[in-house]
Amino acid sequence: MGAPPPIVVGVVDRLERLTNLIALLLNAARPITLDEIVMSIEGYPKEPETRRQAFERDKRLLRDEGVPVETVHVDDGKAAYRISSDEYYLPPLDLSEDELVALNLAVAAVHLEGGRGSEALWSLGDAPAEALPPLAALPVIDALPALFDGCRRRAAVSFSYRGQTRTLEPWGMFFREGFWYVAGRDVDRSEERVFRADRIQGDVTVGPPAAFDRPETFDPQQVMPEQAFRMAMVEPTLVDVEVDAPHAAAATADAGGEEAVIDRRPDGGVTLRIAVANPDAFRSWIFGFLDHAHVVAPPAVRTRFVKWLETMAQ
Amino acid sequence: MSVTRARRITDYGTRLRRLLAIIPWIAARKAATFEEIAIRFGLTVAEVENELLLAACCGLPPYSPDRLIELIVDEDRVTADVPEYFRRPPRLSAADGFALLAAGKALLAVPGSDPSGPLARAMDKLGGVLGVGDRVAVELDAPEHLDALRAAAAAHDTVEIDYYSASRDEATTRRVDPLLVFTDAGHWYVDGYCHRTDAVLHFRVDRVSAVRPTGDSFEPRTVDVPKVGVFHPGPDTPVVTVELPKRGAWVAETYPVEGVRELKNGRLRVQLAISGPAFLERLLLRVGPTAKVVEPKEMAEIAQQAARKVLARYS
Repeated sequence: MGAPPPIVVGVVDRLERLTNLIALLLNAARPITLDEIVMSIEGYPKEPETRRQAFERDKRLLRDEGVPVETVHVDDGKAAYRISSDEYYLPPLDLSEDELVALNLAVAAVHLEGGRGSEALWSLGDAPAEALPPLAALPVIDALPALFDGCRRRAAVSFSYRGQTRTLEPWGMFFREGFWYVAGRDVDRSEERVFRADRIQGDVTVGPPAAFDRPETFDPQQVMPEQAFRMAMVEPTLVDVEVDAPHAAAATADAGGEEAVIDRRPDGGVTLRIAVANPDAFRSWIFGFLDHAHVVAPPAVRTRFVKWLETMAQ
Repeated sequence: MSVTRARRITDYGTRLRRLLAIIPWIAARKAATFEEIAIRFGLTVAEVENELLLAACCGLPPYSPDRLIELIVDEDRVTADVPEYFRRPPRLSAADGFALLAAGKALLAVPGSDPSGPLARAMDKLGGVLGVGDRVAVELDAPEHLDALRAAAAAHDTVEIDYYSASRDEATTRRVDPLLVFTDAGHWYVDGYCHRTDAVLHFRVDRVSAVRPTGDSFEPRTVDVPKVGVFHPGPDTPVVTVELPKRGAWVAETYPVEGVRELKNGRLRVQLAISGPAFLERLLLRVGPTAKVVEPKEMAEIAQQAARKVLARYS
């Protein structure tokens, strides 16, 4: 080992302060106040307001990193803090050797945007590292950890979505067609709703834990029909669409599979019957095929498309 | 209420979690070399020294030996005496727990993965500890020729594919060396050397309509992880100027635009790099009658032409 890094006397590194804070709160026999904390831990500023701010920053950082700092109010109304050892430690995972290897391979093969993943393996045990070609890339957006925290703690989450504040009891999350979604009960509207996580603006606020019960039968994969044009915006209309052979397979998959096929021509083209609940998304979808698809029925929808195109053609 | 902020590279947060993982790790072994620690936790030896020097000061008042992290450094080796309360790592943060679940579930969603193998069992255990295993789902599509292309890539077999190019709206047949098959932003791609164009191209697997063996094989070579979710304009990419109604603002948010200007009448003038004429036709059809191409002049009629082409199907 080379020369040790210089130690600056009188300056306590924040990492040291944080580690000591965890040790103190984890071992405290009862919740302790900030006044008591600064008697035991060096490194907090002397001036009361600056000291309070420094402590709040530390507390927030610990919570962001998953350290459960609880706040309780003691007799005289003062805030006191503790870390429950039941909540703090990682429960034993009992991963077998091959399970640990599989987990390491998954983290190596799936690239999470933002680079998270390998850090998550720090505490889980040792496994041989292996270089693998990437197999999948998933976007990771800022809102996801907080939404996930709400899911696992059964805590309501609040966020801004298309300019409105929404409060959601998150039941589950899913990734589909390149996007992350969160599903749950919209508290203000008292309805089941689905939100696209990348459209959430700004911070997500996580409320107190164990605030609601999830419906037992909830399955995130059953939440939403796959195509945007089947996402409920209006009462669904059944629309028949004729698609040419080269695009028949892709269009059939988009429409929900073989049961959507009402006619199959010898050249491989198909006619699909589709429940359209979002006309804008449907228009966008069918124009993706250019002149390889068109609306056959009902007449009202067909006429709307003809008008749209005729106005454009002028 | 706690506000979970957008994750920034909070060095202290990362360092803290790492330290709280390193200490139990050394404690379990009693001793380790700096190099072993560096390799295990993705640090340099100097960083390990720095972090451990800090840790050696940590513990509980009155800082008696049983309450303090005691680290004895001997040459390149550190021996640890760690108080009981730091011998086990803390729970995973929400970000880490989510990252692990997402990665594992994504790999399990790849067609052909073993739904009851070691990874599935690891996910069950992890989901149990996190309390939400069944509440996070990852779905990946399974295009028809995915298996054939993955098999060819693994065996280094050159194949012939029928491929529909969406940006040119044309079907082609080409010989391809499939180098890498992967999924990004909701689509499967094969990154392959195309013999016809003598270049490595990204092919969308769901636009491959046939895969035929050629009997030839190719020399394996590594390719960089491509970023294909978004179309990336190159130096030769044509740029068009399009005028859009206000409700066409989504175009500027969805596609790689090079400039946006709001006109006095509320309309938007957008400069857009296009991957091909078919891309522009689709875009104009979607925005509708009030969108028009301003530059270049020879493309001014493209919206009308596209509309007439599609309209022909309705007559």
